[in-house]
Amino acid sequence: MDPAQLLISQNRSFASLEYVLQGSIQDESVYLLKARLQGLCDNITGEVEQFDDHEIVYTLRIPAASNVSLRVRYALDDLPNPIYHLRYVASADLDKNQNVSVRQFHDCCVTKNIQLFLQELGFVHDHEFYAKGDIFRKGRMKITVAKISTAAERNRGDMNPMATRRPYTNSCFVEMSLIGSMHDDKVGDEMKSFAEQLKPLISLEKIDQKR
Amino acid sequence: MLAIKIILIVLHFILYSVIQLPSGSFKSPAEAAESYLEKLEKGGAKKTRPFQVDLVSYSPSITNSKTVHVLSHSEYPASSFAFAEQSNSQMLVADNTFIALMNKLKTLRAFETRLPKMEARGTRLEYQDFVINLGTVSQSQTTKGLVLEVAYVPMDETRDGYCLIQEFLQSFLNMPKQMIQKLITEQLSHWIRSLKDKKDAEYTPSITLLQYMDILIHMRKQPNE
Repeated sequence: MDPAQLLISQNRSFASLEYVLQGSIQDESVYLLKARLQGLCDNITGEVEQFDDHEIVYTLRIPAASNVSLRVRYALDDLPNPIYHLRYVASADLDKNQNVSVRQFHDCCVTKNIQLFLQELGFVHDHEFYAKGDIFRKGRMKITVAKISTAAERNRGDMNPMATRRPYTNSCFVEMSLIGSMHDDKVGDEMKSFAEQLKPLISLEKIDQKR
Repeated sequence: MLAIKIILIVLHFILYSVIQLPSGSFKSPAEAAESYLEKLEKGGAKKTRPFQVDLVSYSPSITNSKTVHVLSHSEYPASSFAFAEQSNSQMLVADNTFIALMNKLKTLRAFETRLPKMEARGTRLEYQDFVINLGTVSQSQTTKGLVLEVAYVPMDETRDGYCLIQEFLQSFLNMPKQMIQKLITEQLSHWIRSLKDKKDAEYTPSITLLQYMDILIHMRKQPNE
């Protein structure tokens, strides 16, 4: 089959699953965790990859069904022409047989008119936040250590976005995630055993967001 | 077999224009496609690979939302093109996983697919710097018409590219200029008109897909014969 045809027909209906463990650590201890992660994770360049993202969440209210949220994310380093990343994350499936929370996941990169597009479809701005921190990789696992902050007021014009940021808490949010295609018990074990190695600095757990 | 009423032509150059051709002289769209293909091959165009454009429309199940048309094109296999109906927003260009996201929204009952899927399938030809896509449009196995897309690849400046494509159509398919002007879609003629006051006339794939969207939606509204 022609490769172009193949690309068109594949990738159309597969649902990805995201396996997640979450936790938090106080700001004053975060350097210990980072040092530990740098030692344990794949470290080819000797430098830690950093990120500084802005995420805006849009919600569509559907009568007689649950609301749908879509997340638009872009890297502030890429301004003025960032690549926008559109993400759908379902609420976590807290299967007792799994060591980690598993959630359905869809993503794609989109052009910059995405926010206007979502508003046209009836999506309403729900909330937004900034996440700035480091990213570590270990095999297929991804560990982010990020400071989550809010925009004190919505960012207008050429105001420096840094100046308007206010951290939510004096701790950092730590998330270990892995994207797989189907239920796979080994994934949970692999993540759990890696999380064990970070104890007692941090305890990464599956967290029920509804509670 | 009944004669088809319309033959639609997408002139896609890197300035692409879309036209609608009246044709009563062919017995079936297949025959019309055959005849155009023959003319193009006689002129020296070579078949390269299959060509395909799909249109899936998602109708909203809530009142304050809008219909979303999602298109894909074999010339841009990694992308999806989405357009919200009756909106001022531009076309959204996304990865081809966008359709999976829309299907997810469908299972979450935000959208439904009431309207049938439209498909254009055919042959991609090349003649030097021109790329020609000729295909028949079908809606659940019913053939609705023909589309032709002509692209002049090395150029993304609309004004000059459009002239070259007109010339190509005149010499290969004996289409007079007035006919081409009548056949192009509103999208393209609007684009060409808007160029008069613009310096920047760069053609983008979104404009091609807008033309396809117009044609395919129009064909879907046509009653089956």
